[in-house]
Amino acid sequence: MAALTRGRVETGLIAAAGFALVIGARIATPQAPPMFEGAFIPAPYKYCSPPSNLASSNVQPSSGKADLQVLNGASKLGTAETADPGGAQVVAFFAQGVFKTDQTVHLTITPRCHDAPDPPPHSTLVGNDYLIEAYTGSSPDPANPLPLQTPAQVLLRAPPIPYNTAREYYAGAWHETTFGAQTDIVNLTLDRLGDIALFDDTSLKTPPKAPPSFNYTAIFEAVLTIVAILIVAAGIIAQRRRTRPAGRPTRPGQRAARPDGPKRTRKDLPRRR
Amino acid sequence: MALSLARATAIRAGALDILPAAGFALALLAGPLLAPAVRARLRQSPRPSSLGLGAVLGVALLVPGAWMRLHGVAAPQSYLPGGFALTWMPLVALIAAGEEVALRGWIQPLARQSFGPAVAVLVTALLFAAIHAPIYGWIALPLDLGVGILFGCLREYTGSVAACAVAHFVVDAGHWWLP
Repeated sequence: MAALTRGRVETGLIAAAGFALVIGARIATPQAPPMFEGAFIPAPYKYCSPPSNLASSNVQPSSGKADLQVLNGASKLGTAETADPGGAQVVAFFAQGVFKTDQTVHLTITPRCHDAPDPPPHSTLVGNDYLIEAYTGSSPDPANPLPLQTPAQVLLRAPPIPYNTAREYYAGAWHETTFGAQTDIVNLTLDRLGDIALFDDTSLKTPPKAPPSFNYTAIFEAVLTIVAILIVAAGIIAQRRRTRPAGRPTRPGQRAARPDGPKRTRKDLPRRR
Repeated sequence: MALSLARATAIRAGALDILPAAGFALALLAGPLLAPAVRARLRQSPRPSSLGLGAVLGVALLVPGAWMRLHGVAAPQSYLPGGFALTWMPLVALIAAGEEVALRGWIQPLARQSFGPAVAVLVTALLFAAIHAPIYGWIALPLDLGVGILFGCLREYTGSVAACAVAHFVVDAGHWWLP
């Protein structure tokens, strides 16, 4: 009875930990896909200026907007994404307190198809230029953008065209920004809001690469994780078998070995299924 | 895990996910059903209260996502157009059933025999999270680990694999319909 109660308590505690993990994960990584076993079939990239072979099927990219509510003089957690059919091409994540303000923060993401800033020297724009703005009044004031208290994270979709850098444009110039690529999604860390875009810069030593169609790193890490789990499990099983008393029955109904019988070897022990 | 990797490989190679997903689910179902112990477990009819508890857990797991959507926090959504949802639902049910039969119907009892229920829940949840990683990415690992733990606890509490499959299906299907 005590064991049963203890088992229930253990299960209850683990369940509580599971709930905490679910809620914590949803808050800490809002960009993580939830479970839905849905098909991750990438929709075609939507170009402002498509390559000639895609011109007939291309759909123009969409803009997006959202509002961030405020609490005690700081903005609450929120996101903004473009409204592209088939999946957003830009998703911006703003942690709690990114903006210090008492008014609701309006966010806009706009593909700059006609008035994008000129690319820097030796650079070719890859995909679209997106302008991300945040403002509290009725319209954005490019001269006085809302400052970010902490960096914003942006997921920017990359077309299947080689690129080697990501940049943001503010104060009249392009600036290098921290980025990491995962398949066709590029994760940018922005210290200031402005235009963001990918470039193929011939002056850089890093050769341009197209987004990988296959995530080898994830597969490799998955295999490593499974191997590690199996090694740990095998070690625990081996240790338990080694420490089990030789005469102890392993299954209900099985007779214990006679204490005065011949010494049993590991081969004589019944195999566990 | 190999099946999950194969499915992710096929998707990233450009295959429409219906075939890899169906193959993944059927293989997950067929493999464990070869074991007599698993077949014996599945022959027992689930209690309605267990199935109800599974549905309640599934709905409860939708609450954080729904709350986030209502508060303007968007999560990545499936690229599949909404019109495909009805044809996709049977496949979602098949995948949920396959994963639950393999993990909660086969591996969890095996792990429980060796290590006890608590470790069995954790080991099965780790496997559950790992098999989703190739498709959803590593960023989804903590979330899937938490969900796997809850499904494992549901299995321990109700003794029913079907309850876990119901919870899994409700979570999967529910995320399609969140506003």
